[in-house]
Amino acid sequence: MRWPFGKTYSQRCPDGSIKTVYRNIDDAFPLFIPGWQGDVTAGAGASAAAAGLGDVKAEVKGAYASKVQAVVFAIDELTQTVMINFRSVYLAFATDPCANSDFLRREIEKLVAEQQRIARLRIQAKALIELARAQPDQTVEILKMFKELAGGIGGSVAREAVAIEIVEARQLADKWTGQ
Amino acid sequence: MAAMVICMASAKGGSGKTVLTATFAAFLVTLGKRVLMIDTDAATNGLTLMFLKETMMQSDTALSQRRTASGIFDDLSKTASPEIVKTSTGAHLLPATYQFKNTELIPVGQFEASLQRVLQVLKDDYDYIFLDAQAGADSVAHIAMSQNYSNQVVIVSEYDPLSAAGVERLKGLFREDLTYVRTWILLNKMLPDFVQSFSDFMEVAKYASPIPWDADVVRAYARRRLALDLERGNEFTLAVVQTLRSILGDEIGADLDSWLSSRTAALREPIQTQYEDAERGLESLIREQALNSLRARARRLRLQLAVILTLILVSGGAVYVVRRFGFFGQDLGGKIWPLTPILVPLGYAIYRIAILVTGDSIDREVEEYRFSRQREVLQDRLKKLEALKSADAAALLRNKDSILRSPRDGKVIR
Repeated sequence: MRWPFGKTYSQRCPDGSIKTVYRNIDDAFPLFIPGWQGDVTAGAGASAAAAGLGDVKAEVKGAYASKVQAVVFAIDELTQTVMINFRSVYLAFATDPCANSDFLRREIEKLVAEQQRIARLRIQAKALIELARAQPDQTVEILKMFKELAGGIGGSVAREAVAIEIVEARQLADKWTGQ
Repeated sequence: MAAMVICMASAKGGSGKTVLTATFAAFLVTLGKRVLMIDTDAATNGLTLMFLKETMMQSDTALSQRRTASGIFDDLSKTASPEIVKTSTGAHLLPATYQFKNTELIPVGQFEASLQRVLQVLKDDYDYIFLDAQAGADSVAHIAMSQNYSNQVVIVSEYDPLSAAGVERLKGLFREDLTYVRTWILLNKMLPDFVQSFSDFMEVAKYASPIPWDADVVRAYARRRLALDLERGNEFTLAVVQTLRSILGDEIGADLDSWLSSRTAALREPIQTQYEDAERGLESLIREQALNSLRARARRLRLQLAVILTLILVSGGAVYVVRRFGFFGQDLGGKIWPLTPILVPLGYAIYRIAILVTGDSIDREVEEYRFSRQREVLQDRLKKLEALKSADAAALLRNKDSILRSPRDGKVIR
């Protein structure tokens, strides 16, 4: 049934099942992506606040500020990518709900897994911000945390993690060889 | 049951043998198997270096308990027991050595006696034992590949003429040990384009499903990690599943199926379905990008109309007020019309300011960038999945069997 002003409409499929489709993709967001605010174009202002991490600049000063900001920006980017993916997946579903319902289910499963990973990264980032703010002299711990986090995020942030890893591997090998 | 001993060999260095050994071991551990890796590479001690931190910690632990930690190149033939490292992946490791030394100087006889003893002692404690052999055809590598110590040999090779010739040389040198039944050739770091012709190889030797080249593997390795993603899945993990299925077949078939059924769609679904989904996803992304572009154009048009309308209303109102209340004298009404061309640049300026204030153009650029990047990711994924589809050795063998099956009684004709 298609009511002209309804948020959703239903479509009966040849197999007898009924699929409900949101007319406006933004309305479908809160169902699947918790914390989504419905503005996919918020990219330019990608900030810690958007990633739910508060104001990094105000909280972390000194040597770690740029590292933490890079991490926060990368997490926001990951979130935005999930949004874009969801939009396009839902568009495919809305185009042909009967043929693409399995596709939607599988893709949602993948997106939920990705969303959970982002949630974990966000918690790690919060811990990193807190540590860098409260105990900026804990260099070893901060770098270890940053390395884990940046490695988990991947992309350009991982470059710094690799550099740290190489330095550590060299130190370890020196210790082993007795140099 | 005694462990199956698999020797990972290669004709030349740099084939990715050590990383694959660690990857296979880690994956088999997730299937609930007990796995030991033995670093039998005297030249590079690759596995030992890969898990150096854990190795050094184990050495310290042994020292604190007044034991001398011994690796495979230490003298294990008599009384000393092998010191096993529990790696972060869950697989166990017997390093080349705990104390830094040139393991290439160790007499071959001592190594062989150590290997023999270690396998005797530990064979019942594990389901799989991987020997990470030295690249090339020297005596230490030959011992690891020998039928006396390993049940299967996987020759890891890159896909290039030099490597192909190297594999043939290795097979020629150790003809008695590298028989068809117990020897697999595993093409690693194969470019997705080249995998398309993989089925041609199936005719000439026992090839395992190849591992397509994947930048994620390099990135993960640079961080001293394995590229396996057992939660969300990735193409490398799918390739490893496919390769292990072709090498170990029935041995792990049921465990693998049961494990996969508990995973997310990214791992659980067959590669064909994953490919179709990726294709559908890409199509949809392109459509969404086009729609988005239309939406942005509509937004801009609305903004332009709003500015024009505002200007008309404001200027009309201003003219009315001036004429109605007679500001600047009664005859000003006639002089005000020549000033109207100012309204055009003024309107344009207001429009540009409105765009800047709303941040519309920057947002659009960022979004366009995201779309393009996501498009690249999906295109890359499609290419990799297509390669994996062509690389399924088990399926290719099944097809080959069906071709060679007698139409009368269904028996395979060989």
